Amino acid sequence: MTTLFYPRLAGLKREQRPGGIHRISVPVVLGLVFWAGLYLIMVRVLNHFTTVDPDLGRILAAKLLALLFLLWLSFLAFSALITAVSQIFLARDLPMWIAAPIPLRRLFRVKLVEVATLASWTAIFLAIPVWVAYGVVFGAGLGYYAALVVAVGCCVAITTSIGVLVAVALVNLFPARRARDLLSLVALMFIAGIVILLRAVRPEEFVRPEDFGTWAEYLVSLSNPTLPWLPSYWAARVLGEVLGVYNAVHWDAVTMYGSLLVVGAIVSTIAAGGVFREMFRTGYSKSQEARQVQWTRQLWWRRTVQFLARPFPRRVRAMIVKDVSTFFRDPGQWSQLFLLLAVIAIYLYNFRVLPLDAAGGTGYLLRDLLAFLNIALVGFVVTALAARFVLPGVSLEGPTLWLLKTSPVTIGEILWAKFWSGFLPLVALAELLVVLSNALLQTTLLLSVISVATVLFLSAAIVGMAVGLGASHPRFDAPDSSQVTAGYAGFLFMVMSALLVLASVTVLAWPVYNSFRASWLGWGVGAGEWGGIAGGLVAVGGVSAIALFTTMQAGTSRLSAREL
Amino acid sequence: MSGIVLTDLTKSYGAFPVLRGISLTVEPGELFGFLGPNGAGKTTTIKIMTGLLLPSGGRVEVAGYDVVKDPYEVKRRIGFVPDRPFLYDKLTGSEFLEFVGHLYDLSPATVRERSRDLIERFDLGEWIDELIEAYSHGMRQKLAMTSALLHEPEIIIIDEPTVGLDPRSQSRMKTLLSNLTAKGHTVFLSTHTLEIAEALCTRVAIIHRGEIIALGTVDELRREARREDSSLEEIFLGLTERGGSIDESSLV
Repeated sequence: MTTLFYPRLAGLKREQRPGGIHRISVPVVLGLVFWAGLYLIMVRVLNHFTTVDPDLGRILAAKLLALLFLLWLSFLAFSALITAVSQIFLARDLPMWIAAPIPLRRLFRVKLVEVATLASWTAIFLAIPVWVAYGVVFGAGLGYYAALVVAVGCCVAITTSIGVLVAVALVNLFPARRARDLLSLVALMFIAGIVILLRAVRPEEFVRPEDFGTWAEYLVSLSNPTLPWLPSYWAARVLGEVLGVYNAVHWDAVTMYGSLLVVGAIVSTIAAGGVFREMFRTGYSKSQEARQVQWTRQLWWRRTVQFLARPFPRRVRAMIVKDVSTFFRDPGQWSQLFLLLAVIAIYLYNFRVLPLDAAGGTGYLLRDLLAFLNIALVGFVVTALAARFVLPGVSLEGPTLWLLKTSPVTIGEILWAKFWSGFLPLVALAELLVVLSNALLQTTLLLSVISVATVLFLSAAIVGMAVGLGASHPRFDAPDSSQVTAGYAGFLFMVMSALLVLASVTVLAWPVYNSFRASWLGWGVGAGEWGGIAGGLVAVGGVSAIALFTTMQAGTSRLSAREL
Repeated sequence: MSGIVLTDLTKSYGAFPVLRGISLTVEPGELFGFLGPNGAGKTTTIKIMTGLLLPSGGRVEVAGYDVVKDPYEVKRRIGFVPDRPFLYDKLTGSEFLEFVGHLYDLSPATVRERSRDLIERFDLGEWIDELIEAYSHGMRQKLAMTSALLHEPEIIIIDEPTVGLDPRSQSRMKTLLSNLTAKGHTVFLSTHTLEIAEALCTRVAIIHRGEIIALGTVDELRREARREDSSLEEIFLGLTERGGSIDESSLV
């Protein structure tokens, strides 16, 4: 059994050799800062609960613990499912394991431990300050920490086993590559679903007792268990009881929910083992036959993309068509559009429900102010999207860059093709957001024109900076685009982009304010105000153009000089 | 038409010299074999010839153009097939060929017409509308070769042309290379498969530790190595094991 873990353990051991400590020091420091920050916030929140009203505070603390465990378990479950598919069916070492005379029972144990470790360590790392904060605020003894270890262990065992079980079943139904693609889509829709749910449920209303008929109704509503059939509630209940959150320790509840956790862990592990032994071989065989069925291979799709790229020269057009086709054939990329749709829906919904009427006679001031600040908000949305979709473009080209660099295409043509592929959809989205939010706010035509023009300039500059910085600091070794976004180029891009957006809004603030003041005071917008606005727009356009062309030029030079 | 001229070519990675002053000439229409053990500098030489790396010193002229001064003109005239061709997994074979054709400014009709013949020659017809991610290594190699020939380059540079190819495809590849040189194309191929070099190449160069240690026809190498009955493999092993060299001036 230990032999099967040897390759992974040996790899980890090598990470500890000289240089390793230095390499990991930055993440360790950041991790400790995160821990400290989250711990202090949690302690403050829990202390606030218990000091304002001890009885209500305890109920709120128990409710919060159950909700946090629910969220934690949800992430753990999805992480386990995705890790299980990749570790059990797509890992590179699998052919070696399968060819070796290793009984399936032993292979299951190894894979279970691998999946449990890989899928849960981040979730556990993130939750430690929360659990410790509960222990400190409620003066917990060793019993709490012992119960915590058992409860967390059981939750990990349950989610891992179910992840393995579902993964094996899924791969028997779909080939593994499609199953993983399907899972990434499900995971993203799950995140989008949570965001939408939070907005639909409007959790802020729970902290407004006046909305309930009586105080008792409010307390009863809070005391109701949150999804009591899930292990997250069992774990939260056991820990809440041991902490004394429910005033006294109800040992019958501890025994019942504790037993549910332990039995659940054992039963799910046995069930997963049985399913693994019965279905793994057929599933693995099927996963090797994976084929993709793509709607983007239909003639109408190709013709549409080619038609849209028609205005560009042949070589640039070829690269745009290639970029768009590969994007929409990679579910890891396009499935994030669901998240994007959720963001847009929430964005516009927030404008719709803004309590402008509550501002009374000054509602129009608030409306104009919001419409103006909306320019910056849209700038940040474009920044976030460009960081995710545009910035990694050159890095993802890495292994295939030999083809472009040995063909008669200039690096400039490659980068401008990437610019247009990113700019056109992002500027359309940004303008849509601006126009719709301005319509919802019923803002003036003047402000609408300013918004549309500024967002056009900013979008071009932001996309240009994403392409240029992505080309200046590519990461050809990055396994996926998120690693590029999280790297040096991503950091630099975010900072530069944020500065550009803030600078643009600052430059426009004074002339826009002057024109509004003239309008509010009934003077009418005169030549001076118009001149100020035109000057502001020219300045923003000029700065945007400088940002766009200098970063694109820098990217072209650095990528041209780069040896492959 | 011009071939390839390397003059005193050097390349260092930091302080480590990989190429130590290589000079050789490949005549137009020649099928030239570039041999050497692992790490000898074959791929580095090819990468410099194709513009993927810049030389540390010396001069490289391909198809009459300097690769450093006129990379664009060089790239228009060469077709390159690397030893491990990473292609766009999410494109189909036919989409990939169309993409490469457009990079060389070929019209869609020309791409279709030229692809048809090459696809048939490499037995890719059955797979050409599948995504490349479903292709085996050999099929990727064949697709890369097809794409490199689409624009009918003057000079074809191939790194390990037969790796991953089945015997039938290897045989077709050999015929294709011979036909290309018969039509006046220049072929520069780097290979470990000495049997191919012996059977096809008009001349070979053996590179070892960044230096050319032998250059000439296989018969010339035999004579100079005083191993008249030896195969190219035996000459190669003899030269690279003892690290010695044949007097190049007598061969060229």
